Amino acid sequence: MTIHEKTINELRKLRMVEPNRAFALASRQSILESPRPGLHYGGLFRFITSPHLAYVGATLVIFLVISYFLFIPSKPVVSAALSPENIENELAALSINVQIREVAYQQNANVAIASALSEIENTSVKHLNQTLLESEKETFDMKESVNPEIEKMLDAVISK
Amino acid sequence: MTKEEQELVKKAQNGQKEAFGTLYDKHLPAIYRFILLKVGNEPDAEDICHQVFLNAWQNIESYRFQGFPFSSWLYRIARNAVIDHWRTRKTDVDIELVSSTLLSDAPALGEQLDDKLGIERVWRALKKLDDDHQSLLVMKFVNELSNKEVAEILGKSEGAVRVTQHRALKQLKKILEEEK
Repeated sequence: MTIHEKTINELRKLRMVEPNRAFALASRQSILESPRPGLHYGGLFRFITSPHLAYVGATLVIFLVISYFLFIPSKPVVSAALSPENIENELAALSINVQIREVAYQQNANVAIASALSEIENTSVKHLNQTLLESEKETFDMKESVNPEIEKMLDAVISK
Repeated sequence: MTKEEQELVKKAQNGQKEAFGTLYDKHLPAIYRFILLKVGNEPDAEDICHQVFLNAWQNIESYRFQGFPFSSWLYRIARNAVIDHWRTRKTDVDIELVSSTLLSDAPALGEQLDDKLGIERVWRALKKLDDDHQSLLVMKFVNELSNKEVAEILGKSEGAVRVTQHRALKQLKKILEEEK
């Protein structure tokens, strides 16, 4: 810094520059008499926007949330849901429910199969009845079924 | 910032005029000097200086202590005001006129012709530097701010301030030597 010592000393001379006293007093008075916008609400506003208040607010919210889940007996939903016994009972009930549904399904399937089988074996149904078919065969006469008009016409053709 | 000054700022934030008045008395000379050396004429310097302190008073609620003195906040307002001034009014500066008007308030100093000439000479040289170099030299060597404060006001690192300071002094020295 020694190489600039002289230059710095020259600069220090500028410390003698000072404001005019009359200006300083008039300006001071004018500034202090001027109204400050929002001064009436300033204290409250600063309190609301204070960073400390944000920490206090956040802590309060966390405390309330924890209290809500831990200390209010009328809402045991979370604690009950987390109980091992309840979970075991729930699982057991789930297994029984599955088994009951399976049995019901098997029963329905068995009934359906049995009814299908009985239908197949049942010969009393008309279109499958053996005796009915045989009786129809007996009653069916090939000769009677021939049309005499056609017979005559055929004979006539043959004789020619 | 001292505890006493912190208390004054708190009181001023709560609307106590006298607390702000004390802050005004304490910081006016340095802020005024900074502005005058930048704009170069007394009427403009007074207008800007008044506006700076008025803005500070009306917006002091937004001031938050972040490890820097209250003056850093005032310097930032002043610097922005000077930049705005140069944006709107590009008047040339007659330093000789300014200097004689300025020193007429101090008869003892007025008699010291050498000092007056010395002030005019260094001021004229200072005006030839760029804006950042001027601000830095005035804040550091005229108003005696620390490198940390200057860095905070100019929005630079302390290292950058040291480098710029060296360059600015070198340039000023050269200008002063050329004028001899």
